[in-house]
Amino acid sequence: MSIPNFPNIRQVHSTICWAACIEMVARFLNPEGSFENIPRADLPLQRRILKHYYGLDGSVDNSEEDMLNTFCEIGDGYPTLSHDDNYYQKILLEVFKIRSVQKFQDNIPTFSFLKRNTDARKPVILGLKYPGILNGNHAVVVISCVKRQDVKLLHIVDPFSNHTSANICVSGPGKIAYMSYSYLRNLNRSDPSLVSVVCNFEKIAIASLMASPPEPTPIEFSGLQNTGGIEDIRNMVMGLFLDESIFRVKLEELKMREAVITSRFQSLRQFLDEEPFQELKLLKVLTSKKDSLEIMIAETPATGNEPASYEFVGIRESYFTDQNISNVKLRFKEKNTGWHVNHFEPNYTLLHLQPGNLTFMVFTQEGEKCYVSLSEMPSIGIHYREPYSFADLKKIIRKHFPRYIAYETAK
Amino acid sequence: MPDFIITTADFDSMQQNQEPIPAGFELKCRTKAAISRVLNTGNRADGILLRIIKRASGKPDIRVSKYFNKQDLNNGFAVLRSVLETKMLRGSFDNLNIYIYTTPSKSLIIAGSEHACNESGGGEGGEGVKVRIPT
Repeated sequence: MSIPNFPNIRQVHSTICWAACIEMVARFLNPEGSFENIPRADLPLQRRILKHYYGLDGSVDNSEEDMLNTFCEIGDGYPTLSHDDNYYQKILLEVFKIRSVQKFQDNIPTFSFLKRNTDARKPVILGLKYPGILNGNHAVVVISCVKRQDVKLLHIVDPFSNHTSANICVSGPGKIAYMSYSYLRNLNRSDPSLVSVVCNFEKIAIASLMASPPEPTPIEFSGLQNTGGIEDIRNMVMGLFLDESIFRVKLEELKMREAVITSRFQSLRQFLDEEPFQELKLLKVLTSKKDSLEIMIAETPATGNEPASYEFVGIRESYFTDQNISNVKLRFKEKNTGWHVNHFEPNYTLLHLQPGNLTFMVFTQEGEKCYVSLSEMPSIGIHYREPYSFADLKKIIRKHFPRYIAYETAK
Repeated sequence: MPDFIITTADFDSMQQNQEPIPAGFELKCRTKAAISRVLNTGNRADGILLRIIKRASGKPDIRVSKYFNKQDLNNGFAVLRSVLETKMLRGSFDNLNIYIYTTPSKSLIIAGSEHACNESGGGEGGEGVKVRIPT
């Protein structure tokens, strides 16, 4: 379980991930967001953090003052956080009255250490070698540790993200990522480096609340929370792919796409019980010329104070042939149905299900359904692009996927 | 290499590239002082012109020369003065890092940095905005 209500905040500039991580921890321990001791002119908080860093050597010089004055303009030149002092510890204490422990080590901490902390609702900042960063470390916050099918995953809030507004100081979310622990450990082992670890955050002074709280600004209050969404789920799956330990795919042959297609789908359980269809989201994760992989997500929209919730329904794997599939004519019980397969036409109900390694589609027209397998699965009696009745498929599934059915029933 | 001029407009929207960055590259660096000399010695240049050359050893290298507006790029790419002065080489950034890739496809990535080629890139924050140029 991840740490509830941990903020997700984008770094304003390319090199101040560290400031964004400090801001997230500060906001986590000050959920009301009252930083009344910080002058308005110093906001956003990352500017205030940077100002304090600049001043740690005694004074802020003209060049640094200039960088602070142009903070909300796009441009590089903001400092990385060197390893010659416990800067996280100092800034958190001196600016936010938050006590912490910072240490440097030659690799990321053990999984059990991270899990112990996050299970106790204590985030951990890691400054580490990170995918996509060629030179130096990147700072992220670990907010939970999970184990899936023997793969250890770190649930990470990564502050690096695109600008969503022309005004780069308007706060927005970073990214949620599920990274393979072993992948990160190997990455940090392969290059002589220091990993910084900051943990045990503790607020030591509660600032007195003002009689009338300051007027909120968009910088402080817009889009700070990301309670989890489709992007999170996509990142989770991307994290699973990084060490190829779950899905044996050749990454070099695949290109990532970000399309989100909404259509009418149903889960296997609903399918077997002939329950009404549920609106699901289909997220394209990886695609190549010959096949693609998508995850299927059921979304329950947010209501009132309840955030939206998402159910992982399955993974859809599609195989394409050299033949133009829009020209495929479907046959049903030795008869031509008159229906054509067309992935790009939304005028029919298309269903893809993949329980385990089975893939098929269903087409509905005037109450009739036609089921078509996309996989060559002769061993269980389902053949590529051959139509089946519902009863046929139900029988095959129940016979060949008893464990899956048991799992579905247990849910 | 297609004609490619990096202007400040290229920094207006930072797009995150989801593709992993290839690991194999030749890293070349030029200090802010060296680039400033190219820009300001003799005729004041409008930017720098970078060209990839091949050393006798077969290894790729770069050559940095002056760029004047509207001049022929001759298989090089230009970075305008305003980009260098107001975006990439300011504040604590004193180096321009140039990553030369030959595989899987030829490309260049340039980024401002606090760290020179031979320095450890330690510290949280890594590098500046990376600009990828197809070659």
